[in-house]
Amino acid sequence: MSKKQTSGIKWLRKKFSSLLVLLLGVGLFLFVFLPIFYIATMSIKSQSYVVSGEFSLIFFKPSFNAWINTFNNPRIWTGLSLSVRTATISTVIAVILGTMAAYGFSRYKFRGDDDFLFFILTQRMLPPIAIFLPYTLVWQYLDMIGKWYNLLIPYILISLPITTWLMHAYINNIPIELEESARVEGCSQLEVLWRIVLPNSLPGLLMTSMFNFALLWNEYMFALFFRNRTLPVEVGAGIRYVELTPWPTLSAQGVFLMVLPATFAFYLQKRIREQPITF
Amino acid sequence: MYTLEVKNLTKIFGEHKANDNVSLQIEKGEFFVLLGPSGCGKSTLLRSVAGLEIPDSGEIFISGESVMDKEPGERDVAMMFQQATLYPNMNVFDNVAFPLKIKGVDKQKIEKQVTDALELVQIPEKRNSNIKNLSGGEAQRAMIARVLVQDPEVFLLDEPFSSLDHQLRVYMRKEIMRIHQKTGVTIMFVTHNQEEAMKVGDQLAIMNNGRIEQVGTPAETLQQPNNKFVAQFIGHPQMNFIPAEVSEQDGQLVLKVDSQTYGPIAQEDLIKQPESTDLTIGVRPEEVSVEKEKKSGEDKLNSKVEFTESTGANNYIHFDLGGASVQASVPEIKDWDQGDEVSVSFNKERLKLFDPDGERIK
Repeated sequence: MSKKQTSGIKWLRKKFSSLLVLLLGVGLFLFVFLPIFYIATMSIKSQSYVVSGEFSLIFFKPSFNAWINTFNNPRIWTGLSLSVRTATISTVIAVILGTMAAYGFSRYKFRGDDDFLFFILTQRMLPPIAIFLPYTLVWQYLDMIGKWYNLLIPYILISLPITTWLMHAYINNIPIELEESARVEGCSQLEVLWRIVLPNSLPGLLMTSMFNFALLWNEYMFALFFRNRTLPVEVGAGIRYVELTPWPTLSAQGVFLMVLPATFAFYLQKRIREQPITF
Repeated sequence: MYTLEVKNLTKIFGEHKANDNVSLQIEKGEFFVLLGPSGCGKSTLLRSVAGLEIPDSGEIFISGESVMDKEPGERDVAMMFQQATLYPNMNVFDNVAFPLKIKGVDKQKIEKQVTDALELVQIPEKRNSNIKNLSGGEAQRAMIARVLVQDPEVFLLDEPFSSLDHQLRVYMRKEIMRIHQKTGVTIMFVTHNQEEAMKVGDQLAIMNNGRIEQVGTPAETLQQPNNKFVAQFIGHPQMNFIPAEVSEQDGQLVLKVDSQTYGPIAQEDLIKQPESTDLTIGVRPEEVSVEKEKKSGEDKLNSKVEFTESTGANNYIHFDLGGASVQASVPEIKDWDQGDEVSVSFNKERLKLFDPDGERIK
């Protein structure tokens, strides 16, 4: 009798736990996708519908005015161009410098190397607003406020710590014997880096680049204060506190802002999965 | 002119002398084995030859030319590590072709040399395989091919097969010997496995604590060990060591083990006069003969059997002499029981004597 009962309890427990997992899954899904779905649908509503007081996530008459406004707005295109430029250049430079630093930390021992590596990470914990003032003074002195390239140095600086740390972990994973082998086979130190270390840490390089690009793409504060109208700044400029905010247009811009890093991330994660390197 | 010559090499890591004034010479085409327990400095020596370690003092010559100022890639050596160091970002062909590409060899030559090398190591069908899809043995073969295409003056192997399972290790060892015979390349091979060393080596160098204890053919190191370390390191099963005291009796040298006397020993057999009376007798289990009954007389020592053991092919009895456990090889295990009286004698020709410093004096 008791045997049957326990198996019944077991069955119930099993059912209950799978129900719990399902509920958690749905909750997580809604938590992540509801906001995206919300602004995506908002972007194809008309302003009059939004302000009319009616609300439906699904049943409404679509209007593409917001998207037409967005694409017809030249500032969106200049913002996009600026964002792509600053995020890409900074990412590339940060990944190159960070990888070189990571290689050094990984392969050369010197006094205090671990402390120094940690010191680099602490730079990431520095609040950006704290270094905003000295930058502003220097940029003003050099008459660089409003110039697009004034973002490069702070952007590289905020990406370097994480880049160095991530790449340090990847390079540590490459057996030193691979490099020694290559050196005996005639590679110089630079050739070893170029032909062995970099190709074998490619997934790491792609991941790190993706991470940095997303970070810089979304950066708002430096761009705003140094008077560079990157895409997030343009989108943010749409918010009105006195007049009526053009919610659908703003949503369309928001969606537009999301598309590029998402595409980039999707493409890269495919590459990373295609080429997993194990030692 | 030696193909490889090391002169008074010393390498210090912090406080630890990894190589202590090491010198050796390797002739062209020799299969030279560096043998020693782990941590004895044999890998450091090999890495110094490759240029991966910078020695603190001493010199290395390859084909008569000092290589101390040369980069690893300029030394005309090729190296195999404990793990196959195939580059994961290249397929088998590109891996084998890599050293040639670096040296700027033209494409057609690379194609031919790599094809030949893959033939020689018998994996031509794997040329376009991803290295992830190779078995352990195939990976080692691809490694050998990559080493061979470099056509090195000296081929350095740092315990190359120690991560393989036993069967494959034996097989790859034979492969290396086959390739050595076929190509006549000079090989410097590092191992801690004495059985492997004895089988493959033309010359052995036995290392301990950063020093070379002895260089010689496998037979020489087995039959004429320089010292106690070499004697106990070489040969399986291990040599027996019995503490003994040397004294004079009726004008002749005799050995005293406990209260028993063994000898006499001919003075002219000794390489040098013992400075101390405390010596160690070294004798291999197969050089110990045992008889059942207690006998007294010249060259006989008496003891009692402590236990017996058998490997199936070989049988051993163990007994105590002078406080040391001694094993003797016997033809039949069933003739012996614990507690049996045993009368022991040694093959006097082969018997070794060591002074308190471990140096051999007979």
